[in-house]
Amino acid sequence: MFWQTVLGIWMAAVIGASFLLVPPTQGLGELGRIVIYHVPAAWVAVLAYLMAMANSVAYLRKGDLRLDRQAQVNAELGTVFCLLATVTGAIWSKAAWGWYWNWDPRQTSIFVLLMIYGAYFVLRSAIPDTDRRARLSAVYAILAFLTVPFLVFIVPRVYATLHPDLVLIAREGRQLDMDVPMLLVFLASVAGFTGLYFWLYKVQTGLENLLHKQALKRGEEL
Amino acid sequence: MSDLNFVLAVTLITWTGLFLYVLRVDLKVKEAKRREEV
Repeated sequence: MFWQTVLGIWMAAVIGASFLLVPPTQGLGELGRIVIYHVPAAWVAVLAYLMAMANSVAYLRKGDLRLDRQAQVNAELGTVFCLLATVTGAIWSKAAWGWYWNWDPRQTSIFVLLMIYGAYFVLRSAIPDTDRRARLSAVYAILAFLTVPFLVFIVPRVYATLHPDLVLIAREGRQLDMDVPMLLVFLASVAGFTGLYFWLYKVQTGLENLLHKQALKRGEEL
Repeated sequence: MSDLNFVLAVTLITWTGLFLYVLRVDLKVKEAKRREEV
């Protein structure tokens, strides 16, 4: 309970600071504040997808079904945070470009990513046999993650995009081109979102293990 | 809508979305614990 309280206070402070301390951004004005939520959500999505791949590799090596459940939880958390990044990005897009969605390379690539991980859950729900489902979804999760660097980092940089990361994270020498108060609130938000991810991961894996144990007691496959 | 309203919308959607997700997980945990006790 202690760490949940700390996390709650921390994120409440981030919300307050995002309005009170963060100055308007050059070129983006007040809209620059959206980066405080949008980027950490995208970061946690990539982290969770990476963890899902690591769990899947470990499952294929060891065959422990707990690792399969951990991969499933990570894929779910990744998708929740990816959806948040997509929705917050769409609101920014409406404010800055006039449309919620205009198939900008960034929007297209995050949409494809959501489809790829959506198919992961469809695959899992389509296979009743536990071991076969775990094996196939582990292979799929590894292949799915291989597309993440391509879709998140490469596609938006190869094709012309209006996405403003060049304005916000452009480097001058070795320093990030971001005001110090904004950088501090941004890093605090990244830390808070990461903490939130680890807490949710812990609760979710505990739940999945408990459900598995109960299903075993009833003599069912889960 | 002013730019600050868009920022407010993002803040509300982010935290409402996360709150609903945590609520869903919490309900599932409570249900599983209740079944464990039965």
